This record gives sequence, structure tokens and C-alpha cells, in this order.
Amino acid sequence: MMRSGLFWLALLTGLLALASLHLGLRFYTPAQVFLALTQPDGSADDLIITGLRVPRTLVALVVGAGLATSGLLMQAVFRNPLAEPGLLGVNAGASFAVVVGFAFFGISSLTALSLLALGGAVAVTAAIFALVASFRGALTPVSLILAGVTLAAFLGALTQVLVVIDEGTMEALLFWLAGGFADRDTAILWALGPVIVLLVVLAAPSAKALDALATGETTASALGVDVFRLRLLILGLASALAAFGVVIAGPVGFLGLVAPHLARQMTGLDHARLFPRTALIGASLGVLADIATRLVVAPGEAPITAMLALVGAPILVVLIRDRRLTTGP
Amino acid sequence: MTRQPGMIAPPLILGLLTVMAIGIGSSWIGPPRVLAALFGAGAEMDQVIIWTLRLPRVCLAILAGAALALAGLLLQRVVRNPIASPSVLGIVDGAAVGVVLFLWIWSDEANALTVSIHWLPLAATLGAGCFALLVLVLAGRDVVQPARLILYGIAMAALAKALVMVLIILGPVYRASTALIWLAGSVHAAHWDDVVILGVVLAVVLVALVLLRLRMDQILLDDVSAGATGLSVAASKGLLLSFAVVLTAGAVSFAGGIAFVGLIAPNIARALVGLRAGALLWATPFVGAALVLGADNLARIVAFPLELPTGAITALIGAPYFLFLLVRQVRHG
Amino acid sequence: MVEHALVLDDVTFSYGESPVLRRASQTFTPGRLTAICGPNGSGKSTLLGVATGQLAAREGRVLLDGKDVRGLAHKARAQAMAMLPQSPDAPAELQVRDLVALGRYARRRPLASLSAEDLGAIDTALAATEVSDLADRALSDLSGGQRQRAWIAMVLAQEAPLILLDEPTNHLDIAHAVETMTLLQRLVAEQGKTVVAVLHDINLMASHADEVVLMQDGEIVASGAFEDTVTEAALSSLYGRACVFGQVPGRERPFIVVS
Repeated sequence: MMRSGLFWLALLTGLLALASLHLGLRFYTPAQVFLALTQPDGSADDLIITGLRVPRTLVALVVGAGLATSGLLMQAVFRNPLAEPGLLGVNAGASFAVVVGFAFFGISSLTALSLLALGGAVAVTAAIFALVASFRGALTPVSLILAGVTLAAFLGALTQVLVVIDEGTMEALLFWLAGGFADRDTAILWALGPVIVLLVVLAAPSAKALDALATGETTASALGVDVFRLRLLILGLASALAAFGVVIAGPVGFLGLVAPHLARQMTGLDHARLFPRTALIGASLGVLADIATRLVVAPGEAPITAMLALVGAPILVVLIRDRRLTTGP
Repeated sequence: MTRQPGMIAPPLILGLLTVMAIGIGSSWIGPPRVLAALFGAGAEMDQVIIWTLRLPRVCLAILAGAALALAGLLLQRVVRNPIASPSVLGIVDGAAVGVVLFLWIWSDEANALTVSIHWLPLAATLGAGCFALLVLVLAGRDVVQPARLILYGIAMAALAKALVMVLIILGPVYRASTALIWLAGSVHAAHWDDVVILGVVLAVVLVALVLLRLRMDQILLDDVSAGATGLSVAASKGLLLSFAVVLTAGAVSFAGGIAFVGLIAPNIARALVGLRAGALLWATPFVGAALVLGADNLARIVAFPLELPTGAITALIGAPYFLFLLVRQVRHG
Repeated sequence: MVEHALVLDDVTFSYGESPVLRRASQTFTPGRLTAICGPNGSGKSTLLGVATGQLAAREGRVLLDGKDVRGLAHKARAQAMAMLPQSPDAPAELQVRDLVALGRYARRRPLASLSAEDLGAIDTALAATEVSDLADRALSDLSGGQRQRAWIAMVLAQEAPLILLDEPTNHLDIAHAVETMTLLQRLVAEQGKTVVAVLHDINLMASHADEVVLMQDGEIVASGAFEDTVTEAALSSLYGRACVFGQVPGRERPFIVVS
């Protein structure tokens, strides 16, 4: 049962990724795609398939899986099903750090920008963690998310100011800041994509400990889990996943909220089962949303943030309706 | 009971900011010259610049700030919580949906509007009203739990933003650019026409609110107590809410949604003059107008000659303030 | 003074299918303090809700001075009947005098400021509840007992002959609870008010109530003058626990021990 569910999900993800190569402003037959992938002859169609669609599909898969896993990890640590890098302001922190580094310190090396993004993401996560810790459980999940959204608004406003002040340099960043999977820098994808995949895999062994944490802090301690260390480790991992996702695709919201939610619907609260499913659902959703951006408003291309919000906002509403959220965690 | 300095300070500060705002521009006009021109004296050149170029913009900023602040006051009263505001309840983005739909539906093949652009505020009001209702219906009994209510608002605002983006791309280029200019929330191209319309809306609503001020006081009580004192609670709240929608839509139609003004201004006014609706109806619009104008002045000075978005400045002040309110509320249970 | 009568005539109320109030009939005697008692979930608060017209009865009628309470205009109803809910709420920084002034809503002229009459009623209410000294304090500065008296002052300022209270001694320590009940008793004795209070504490009921309504499973099982209604047998069957009456020398009313 468990295996077959996972198998179908993997199959679905694969099929969506394949479909993503065929669909768009131009539709290609499987034969065309196969030829373009195996015997490229440099035609315009080849360039579209191998130069545009393959990279954007990979970005969607990798960033989708990364943000989804990041959301799952944050939800486990904060014991809050609404937690995710977008709503908590972690994406905004990473973007802001990149903008500051790029615009004011002229940093353009990929390694440095990635580290900056990581710094920004970690800083916001730490601030949120400190907020939660200082209230010792008095902060309801809903209030925590409000704090995160406000933090995101603040960082967004700062970013906006920087964009206006340094318009010349910022032109290049505006496209990245809008967030999306298409036309991303492939060099960044090749460098950070494997890192994200690695981090997603590395998160899996924490499943047992996260299950223990879900039963409550005291219980987890009693079971021999070093709760504080676990939280730091997991939050570090979650921040890194969000940060690298942001470096590749810009800030993309809602994936980290929707994917873990769907995974829980499928399989319950067991983290060993949740990890692979969340990652696969995140990847599928990423690709699906990216396909939608090409088809919904063709011949135009819709922003990925809009597509994800159309799915994510109703799911957020469903999640808020949960009675338990207004009691302390 | 009303604290006099709190009643006098906001209009005074607004006056100073207004003179300053009129002075700021491609050429600085000092306060004496501004005042002279305002009262019909001084150089003719100053008079032309001030009356035709600068004053409409300043007036629009003042009116938009006042309208958003009043809308915030009403919402905070209706949901009985100081962390409510028009933007977080999805009303601002709802108004945007109304506008984009209006531009989409009433354009002909040649992309010209088939009805007068003056209907646009009505479309904004309808959009804002629909989303306000949607949020309230979703929230249902949760209206009394403001944090949850606001989260619903955030979800619906995200939905509205997404709709707006998709609708803009679906629409032809002309409509897209019109909508984008409008969404950017600019007071640059302000005309006296706009000032008059928004001014009339604000004045009418303000008069109505003064007449309703006892009801506004009565809803300080919880619903059951308020009902027991003889207030028709549902009708009163519905009425005040619809005024909040109209004010928000009006401000958004002519000046765009300026973030956090509707949140901060009523709270500042409350600290200045207390809880009574009569005093608040006086102080809140001045505080809101002063906030927008002050932020706008800052936005134009800080990186001169560049102009920062006014909404970004108010967000930089408003976001920490919201966090402060949230933390205080959590502390006090 | 006109005798304001509140009559429940065969009233049934339900939230879903099963009624939480079943065929309740009750006339609240003017000029008396009536206590409504019963176990949790017996329908006490629902009865109050239906009586004040906040909840619409599915069957039966609630008559206030002979008129259907749901048909009355809000203000007209408020002039005849005041009500204090279980946990009333107002902003923490609201001053006591301003809170009490809110009780005048049904009687003041809608567009003018408070009249001499209004101010007089507010002062009288403040004095009757002994919060005159606290009039300029914020609600958050008051103790629990003081706050409860301030709320009762607001209800008094409404100048309604009929006052309904839902567990007015909830959250109060025993001293404040007795203080509140004594105040209600004084209102009946000195101002001729008709007071109806839902009470959890049967000893408060035993020492202060003139009339008693006993409720169980959404039904009124007994009602009438305290002496006729409250017996060891009646309370024992009501709470499903043996209730024993004791006597304190010099006091007419018994105290009740539940074992």
C-alpha cells in the first residue's frame, strides 16, 4: 500500500515532467521531443525543447521538491501546519539579502550570493524561532503566521526601496525577484540543483525524531531526542532549502504550504512516509504550475506566483478553518 | 474627557506637512511663497505651479490617507480589534479585481472604454465589497478571533492579487497598461476632478458617520451586551462595514492602496484622543492624511531626485507597528 | 411604576434537531429576585437568551408586557429589559463612566450629547453600585469585583425595570460574589427592580433568591418561591447527589452541603 502510493506519485511526477516538454505555446509530438533529446540538430524546435523546456522543467522539479520539503520541516519544528518559507518571511529574507549584496556591494559570484541568501533565510528563521521561544507557547499558530507575513511585508518594502534607489543595477534583478521557473540561469541550476536534491535526501533520516517532536516537546525529550539541537538542525536545513530555491527561481510562495498538506491527506502524520511524498508532490506541483503558466493565458505567460496563489489561497483557507490553530501549539 | 492637545495636534501637523509637500518638487518653493500663493497672492508663476500641478496631488494624498484611516477605524470597531485594517482584510486587493474586471468588460474591440471612466470607482467598490463579504463569510463565527480573520484576509488578498495578474495578462495591451498604471497607485497625474469626487465621497461618509457615532460607541461592547442596550448590532455593523468598503475603494480608485495607513492611523488617533467615536472621527482622518503626506514627503526627499513608492515608506513604519500590536495582544492573552 | 412582566409561554428552542430548551413556561414575578439554577447544560443560558429575544424560540412565545419580545424595536425592548451576559467585554482602556454611559443608548437622544437626565442616571447608577470613586479609572485598573459592579452600573443606567444576568458571580471570589448578590438584592428592595440571575452556586441562591427556577435537561422542573421550591429532595434529584440543608444560628435561610 505504502509502496504503491509512492510509486504512483513518482510515475505522476515523471509523466508531468514529460508533458512539460511537450506543452506550451508550441505543442510537440512525443516523436519530436524524443528526436530533440537524442539527436539534436540545432533547429529552433530543438532549442526550445533542450534550451528552454528542459531547464525550466528541471527548475520546477528541484525547486518544487526543495520548497515543499522546507515547508514540511518548518511545520514540524514549529508544530504549525501553516508554516512555510513564503508565509514566514524566509523567502523575503533570502531575496532581500541577495538584493543588498548585489546592489550595494556589487557581489555577483554565485557562491557569495548563495551564501548571502542562506544568511538572509537563516536570519529570518532565527528571528521567528526567537519569537516563538520568547512566548513559550502563548503564540498561536495563526499569530505566528501573521508575524511572518508582516516580516515579509517589511522586507518586501525595503527591497522595493532598494530597487527604486538603484534602478540601473536592479533592472537585472527585477525579473529574478518576480519569481518563476522559466528562463532561469542554468549555471545556477547546475550548481545548486544537486545541492537541493542532496539536502532533501539528507532530511529524511530525521523522520523518527520529528515524529517524536510531533507528540510534544516533553515527550520527545523523554524519548531521548535532544529537542533543541534537533530544531536548530532542521531549521538550518529548511532555511538552506528555501534559500537555494530562492537563488535559483526567486521567491516562490505557497508550494511549501500546499505540498505537505496534500501529503498529509494522502498518508497521515508519519514523517518517514511524508518526506518522499512531500518532495514528489512539491515537484509535481511545481511542474504543473509551470505548465499552467504557459497554457492559461496563452499566448502570454502568467506569473508562477499567480498560479500557485490560485491553488494555495483556497488551501490556506481550508487550513485556517482547523479549530486547533487558535489554541497554543 | 477628550484630551485637547490630541484634538489640535493632528490638524496642525497636517497643515505643516501640506505646506512642505506643496514646496517639494522639481523646484523648491519656500513656505512663505506657498502660503502667499495659496491665498491668491505672490508670483503668478508660483500660483500656476501650485494650483494646477502640486495642489491636486497633495489634496488627493490627503483625501486618500483620510479615507483609508477612517476605513481602518471602522473595521477595527466592527471586528473589535486594533489589528484589523483594509489591506489585511483583502478589501484593497478586492477593489483591484473590480477595477481590472471593469476595464476588461467595458472595453470595445478598439480597446476604448465603452462607458465613462467615472464608473471605475463603483467597480472598485463592488470588487472591494465582494471580497470583504467573502472574507467575513469564510470567517463566520471566527470574526471574533481577529488573528484568524486577518489570515483569511491574507489568503483572499493573495487570491485577488493572482486574479488581477491573470486578468491583466488576458486583457489586451491597452487595458493592461491602464490597469498597471492604476495598480501602481500613483497620485502623480492627479486632477481636480479626482479630488472633487473623492472629497465628496469622504464628506458624505463623514457626515453619515457623525450621525452614527453613538452606534460606533455602542459596538465597543461585545455583541450580546451591545444588543441588550438596544443596539441593532448586525445592522449597525453591516452599515459601518459598507462605509469602510466605500472609503477603501474610493481611496484605492484614486490613489492606490497605501499599505498600513488604515492600520496605524486609527491606533495613533486612539492614543491621542481616547475611545469616543466623536473625537476619533475628527482626529483619525487628520492622522491618516498626515501619515500619507509625511510618507510621501519622505519618499520624495530621501533619494532626491528619485521618488520612492509612498506605500513602501508606510510599510516600513507600519509593519513593525503591526508586530508590536500583535505581540502586545498575545502578551495580554 | 408599571409592573413589567416577562412571561415565557411554552417555549421550545433548538440549535439543531434536539431541543436544548423544551416547553418552558415561566412568569418572572415583578419586584423579586429570581435565581435560575441547574446542572451544566440544563438550558439556563439558553432560557435567558430566548427571554431577551436574542434567540428565536422555535415554538411558543416570549411576552414582555404582553408583547412578543422578538417583535419589539431594539430600543423599546432595551428600555424595558436590561441584560448582562456571562463574560461581557469592552476595551481595557475604557473608563468606568464612559462604560456606564453606554447603558443610556436606548434612552438618550441619538444626535445630542448626554442630557442632564442621562448624566443623572449615570451618577445614580455609579452611586448605587459604589463605583463613583472609580468613575475615571480604566476598566483594566479595576479588580474583578469592581469590574463586575461597573458592568452592573451600566445595566442600571439603562433604567430598565427588568434586569437579567447570566452568572453574574462567575470568575468572582466568594467575597466579591456575595457583594454582587447583596447589590442585586438591594436593587430589588430599594428600587423595585425585577432581577433574574442564572446562578451556579446553590448557596448564593439559597441566601439571596426570592424565587427559584430549577432546570434539568432543557426543562423547567420546578419554580416558585424559594421556601416552596428548594428542598433537599428537589436539589438532590436535580444534581444527582445527596444535598443536605444545615442551619446557621440567627439566619433564616439554610446552607446547603452537597455530598
